[in-house]
Amino acid sequence: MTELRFRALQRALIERGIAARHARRAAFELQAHFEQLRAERLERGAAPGEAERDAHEALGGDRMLVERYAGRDELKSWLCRWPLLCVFGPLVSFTAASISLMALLVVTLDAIHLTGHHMRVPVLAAAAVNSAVQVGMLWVLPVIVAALFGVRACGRPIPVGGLIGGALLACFAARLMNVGLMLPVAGHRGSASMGFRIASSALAGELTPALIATAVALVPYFLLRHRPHPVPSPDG
Amino acid sequence: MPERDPTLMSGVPELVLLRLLAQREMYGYDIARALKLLSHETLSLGEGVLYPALHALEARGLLRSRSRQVDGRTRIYYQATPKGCRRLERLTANWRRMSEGVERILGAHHD
Repeated sequence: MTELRFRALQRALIERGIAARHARRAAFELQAHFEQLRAERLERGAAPGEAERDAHEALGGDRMLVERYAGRDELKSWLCRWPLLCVFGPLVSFTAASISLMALLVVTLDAIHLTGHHMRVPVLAAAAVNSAVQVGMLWVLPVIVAALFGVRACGRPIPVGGLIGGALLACFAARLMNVGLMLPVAGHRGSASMGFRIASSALAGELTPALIATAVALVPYFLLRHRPHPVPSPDG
Repeated sequence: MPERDPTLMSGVPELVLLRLLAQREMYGYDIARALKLLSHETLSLGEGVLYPALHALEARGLLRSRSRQVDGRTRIYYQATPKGCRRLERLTANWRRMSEGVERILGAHHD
């Protein structure tokens, strides 16, 4: 019963927006404190049931404990402190990750060229690599980024609308992007390119694939949002 | 036990916790007991105040914590950081100035 109380307390703290590490530690320390209060009362000669009841009372009600934590902004998770991160975070993270990956590809191609290694890549293989880069950066990457934000938001007081909007923004931005990787073949030095194209005629057509990608990205969120969080025992 | 007025307690948990933890590292239960003992039971931070305050002070870099095994149990010990000690000096000076002012007002005779 005691462990159930602290497990429920940890969950309640997370549901009120407290960062998981603070919620875990709060449950751990309060449980350890409770054990000491109970031991103190047992030493004074109280019956086990009475000692446990007194220790629970001395610790205070769960609602009060949760309210005290919820009043501390510095203990809240960053998504709860800055809810707009849910909306713009996936887009910014996706853009930053795309630029970093593209920079890495450019540097790698330059390094290959400078070291004088002449790769002999068959044309078909080069086309396959180009397709893989396009799928990875324009489909997999935005879905992974949006899914990570969704997983971080699990069980927290974050509006689902904000999460869906954020995931859609990232996935839609990916639909407007184009990337290309030409490996050094047949004497060609090789190149990597990335750009945005915004054509009013294509916007509506890109919305459906963006919505599909958004739905896929949010699957982990909808699967995990009610997952219970384990509480470590005070004995470690 | 004397009556406690929450409006008078604003800022007190931070001051007393930093004071205790600037002297030596302590864990939650130890801190709660020391506060009761040192203040002759006039000051007692409930666990609902104590732990959120400790965690918030740590999040602000005023305390650091480490876990230690004592008698087969894991305990989380807290200690004031140098930043926490500087904050304590400022808070103590402010507190003394304020309490002197309040004392003067309470001791003043009005015609």
